[in-house]
Parts: sequence; structure tokens; C-alpha cells
Amino acid sequence: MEHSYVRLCTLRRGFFEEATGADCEWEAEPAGGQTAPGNCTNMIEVLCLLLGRILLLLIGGYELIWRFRERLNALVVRWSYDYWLSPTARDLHERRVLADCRSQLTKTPQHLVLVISPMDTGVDAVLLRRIFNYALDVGIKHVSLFDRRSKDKGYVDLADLCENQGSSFKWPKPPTPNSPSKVENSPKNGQKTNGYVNGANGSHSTQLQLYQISAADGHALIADVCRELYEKRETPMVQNLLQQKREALTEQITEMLDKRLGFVAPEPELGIIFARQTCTYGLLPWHVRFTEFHTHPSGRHFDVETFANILSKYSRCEQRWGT
Amino acid sequence: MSWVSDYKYTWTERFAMRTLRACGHIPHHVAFVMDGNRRFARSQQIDKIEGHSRGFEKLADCLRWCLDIGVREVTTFAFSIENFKRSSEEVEGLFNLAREKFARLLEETARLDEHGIRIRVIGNIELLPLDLQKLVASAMLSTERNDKLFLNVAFAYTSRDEITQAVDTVLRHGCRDLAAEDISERLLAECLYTRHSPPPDLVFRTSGETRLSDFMMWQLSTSVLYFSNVLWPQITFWHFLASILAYQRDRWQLEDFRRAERMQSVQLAKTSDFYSERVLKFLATIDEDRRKLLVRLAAN
Repeated sequence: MEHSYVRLCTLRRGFFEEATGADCEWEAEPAGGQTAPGNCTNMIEVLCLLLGRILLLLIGGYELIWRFRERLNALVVRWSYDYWLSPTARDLHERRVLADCRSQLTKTPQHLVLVISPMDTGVDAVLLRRIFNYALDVGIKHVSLFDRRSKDKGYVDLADLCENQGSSFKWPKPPTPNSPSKVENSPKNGQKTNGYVNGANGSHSTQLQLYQISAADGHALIADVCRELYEKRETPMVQNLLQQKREALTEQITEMLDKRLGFVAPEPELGIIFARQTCTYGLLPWHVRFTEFHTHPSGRHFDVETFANILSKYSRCEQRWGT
Repeated sequence: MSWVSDYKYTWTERFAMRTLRACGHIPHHVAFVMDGNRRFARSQQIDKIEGHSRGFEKLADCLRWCLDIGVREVTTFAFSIENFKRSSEEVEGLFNLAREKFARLLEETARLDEHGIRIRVIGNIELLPLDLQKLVASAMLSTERNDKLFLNVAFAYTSRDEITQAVDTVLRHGCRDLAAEDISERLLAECLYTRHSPPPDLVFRTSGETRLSDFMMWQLSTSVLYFSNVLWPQITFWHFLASILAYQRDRWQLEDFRRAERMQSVQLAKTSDFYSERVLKFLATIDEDRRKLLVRLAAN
């Protein structure tokens, strides 16, 4: 009996060390047979392994309950908000929340980036339209969408939502005479209610500039720029860049990347990641260096209050620019 | 203060550490953005430099924790190129602290060899004062044979500068060997300062900021980002364990994405002829040039 216990301990210890590759000093035990301290160490290891497994189960259980709760919550909120309230009441409520939010903001981002993880199931065209409207209402000028999902997993193409203008899109679409868009009036309304003037740009745009960012716009685009410069390496332009300080080359790369992306926007100041885990998923490594990221867990309901909270948090953040 | 502290664990800490190791995968590479030293100094009404010094003590603790839990590579953001904008008094104070710590490192190479710790300074070290360049280069050369724990100290570093440096390297040194079609993101990744490191599994930023401040932007595209409200000098073993637990929780959900990215990278290496003789020759030239630079700086 004791023999089999020792074998079990030894087996588990082997597995344990292989799995972790660990070699702590305080784990060392005398070589040779199973001495009393050795048994004790093994017992502790078995206990830790057991506790580790329990912890894993607890985390898994917690995740399941969390998801279930969020899904239920989203359903209830959606039912009470989307189906119970009339579109006019909902519209009024949203404008009131956004007007309150605007009056409290000390800074508003000019460029918002939305990151959707490959595993997300909660973000669809309806939610994106809603976010675009909120963004327009608070005075954001540019929104980028980085959707890492595949076509069959819910990928949203901006071309289906709005008007294409070269490499970027405009939101909302220009209204047709028979169906004036509700968002067309929202900036005016926002100004009317509290006389808010955006500190950064002075007035609200009537249209958002939207950009669809793809996975190929990340590292691959920088490699593309490098390749173009390499092909032109004998030209006076590149030779001149190499003789100057490194900043000159940095500026040249920025310019070439922006041209490829069709960016007429500043670097994104705020990013919302729709995922359970915070990760950039390869988002524009050159451009998001100072972006404030907020993670909105997949499955949780996203409404106007969520958006206002994210903006308030962003507004409270102090950007020190290295100083 | 030594680079690896003699941190004394309580029995609960040891027990928790063993449990986490048994619980799941331990990240291979952890990157720390050590933020909050100055806010800590202000809150304690001590000098800024003293705040940075306390921050270094925590780094030594952190290295001990990493070594013991099984993390094999640590990258820390010590000084950004943007930090040159700070007051000359503070910048000089930080350089003095670095001088003291790297001089200490050179004195205790035997201890580092014993733990197998290799120090690599990543960044544009030619922006540093000459004496500091010499110390940094000597420290890197004196530990270059160690391979158990890699400590990358980002000093005079920004990610943009690093990527620009990679492009610059290709433009300057590629002429003899490379064809335009060899240039891919895979090749550029090999021209970064972190050429010999895997991407970080976990990025840990303290002080409640949720931005990356131009730190390893290229490398962290598949990393778990963990933001904590604690100021760096106040970080405890439990904060560290919490980040490891968060990584273990998030890793399995990110694994599919990471695997797909790895597969794509392998595919790209094949299509862009990454393993061709001319590319390997080019990379060998970079390594040789970088080492020559270190030897030259150390000999100055």
C-alpha cells in the first residue's frame, strides 16, 4: 500500500516537474530512498496538485456562471430596454445620457478603435451602428473597426453598413428624402440641450470617418513599407534618410503607412476590446502605442451607459507623454 | 541591492506558488511595465530618485519570484526614449541609478552565473552617456553565456524606434544578400532587439494605466495584457501570483488564436524563403555586427 503511494507520488512529481520545468532550491530533497522529509515533500506536492485542480475547477465553474449571468443579464436588459421602451423613449434616454456624459468630459478622443476578438459572439451590425451613433453624438470624428472574426463567425463588413469613400467609409449614409436618418439630428440636438462645445474640435462633425482595419494592416503593412523602401534603396530619397537621424526614417514610415491605410486621422486615443481577455490581437502595432484600452467582456450587454462610462474613464486618465 | 533578491517566502506564499504551478501553465516570458515609482515617491513624500530606487528593489524581488515559479524570460521597461523629456535632474538621477546597478551587476557576475541569468539591454544604447554605454555593454558581454533566465532591460527604448531600427538594418545591411521578396514581417521580427526572444506571454503593467506606452508593440500581439492598480514599488508576491492566475485563466481561450498565428508565421517563413541561405547569412551578419558594437562600446 505504502509502496504504491510512493510510486504515485514519484509519478506525480515527475509529471509536475516536467510540466513546469521548475527547479527551486527549497524543493530539493535528499537523494536515495524515501526518507521522512521526502514523504512530507511528496505529500505537500500531492496536496498542491489537488488544490491546483480544485482551483482550476473553481475558475472554470466561475467562468461558466459568469457567462450565464451575463447572458441572462443581457437578455433582461435587452428585453426591458430594446423591446419595452418605444424607439422615441430609447432615443431620448440615450441622448440624455450622452449629453450628461459630454458635460462631464474634460477630453474627448478624436479616434476610437474597436477591437473584436476572434471568439466574440456579441458584436453585430446592430451594436456597431449604435456605437457609431453614440460616437457621433459625443464628438468623436474617426472610428476604426478591427474585427478578427472570420466571415462565418460574425465578421462585420463596413461596406454593408455605410457609404464607401475610397479607403474609408462615412457614417451615417446621406439621408434619402423619404427616410431622414435619426442620427442626422443628434449632433444638433446635443448642442441644443446643453450648449456643449467639444474642447478639441470646437464643433461636432455631421459624419463619422470609419476605417476597416484588417489583420494584414499590422505587421505585414510595415514589412510592405520596408520592402518598398528597400526597392528604392539606391534613390537619393532613401540614401538621404539613412544619413539623417533615425527620426527621419520613422516619419517616412508613418507617412507611408498612413497612405496605405488611408488614414487622415490622428493615432487612436481610445480602444474598446470586445473580448474576455485583454489582448491587442495584432492591432496596428505602429499606431496604438498610446491608446487607452478598455476591455468589454464578450457576452456582457453594451449600451449607452457602458459607452459613457468608458469615455468618463478615458477622460480621467492622465497622459504624461514620457515626462 | 543585488539584481536577484534573497526574498524570504512565507509558508502560505510557497504553498500558493506550488499550487499555481500545479494548476496550469506558467508563462515562459513575462514583460513588466514598471510604472508608478514617482507617484509612490510623492505619496510617501520621498525623493523621486528614491522612488525609482525602491522600484529597482521590487524588480530584484520580481526576478526572484520569476526564477522560482518557472518563468524563463523577463523583460522590463526601465527607461523610454520619451523619458529624455523629463527634467535633466531626474534623467541624470536615473542614469546614476543605472550606473550604480550595472556596476553592481559586474561585481556579482558569479552570482548571476550561478543562477544562469543573462542580461540583455534592449534599446538605442548609443543615446546613453558614454560611461553608461560601456557598463551596459560589459554587463551584456559578461553574462552572454548564461541561458537559464533571460532578463531584457528596455533602456532608451521605444517600440517605434525598435521597428525603425529593424527597417534601417534591412536597408543598410541587406544590399549584399537580400532580395526584395525576402522581406516579410518574419524577417523584420528577426531584426528587432528581441531577435532571440519569444514574444511575451504576459504583459503586466502597474499603476492602473491601461495603455502600452510604446513598449514591445510588435511583440505583444498575442500576449495576455494584465493591468493592475498597484504602484510598482508596492507590488507584492500576491499581485504577481494574481497576474499568473489571470494568464492561466486567459491562456486556454487565446490558445486557438495563438496557434493560428503561429501556423501563419510558419507558412510565411516558407513562402518568403526565410530559411534560405542568403537570409540566414544576413541574420548572421546582424548578430556579428551587434556583438562587434558591444565589444567596441565595452572597450571604450
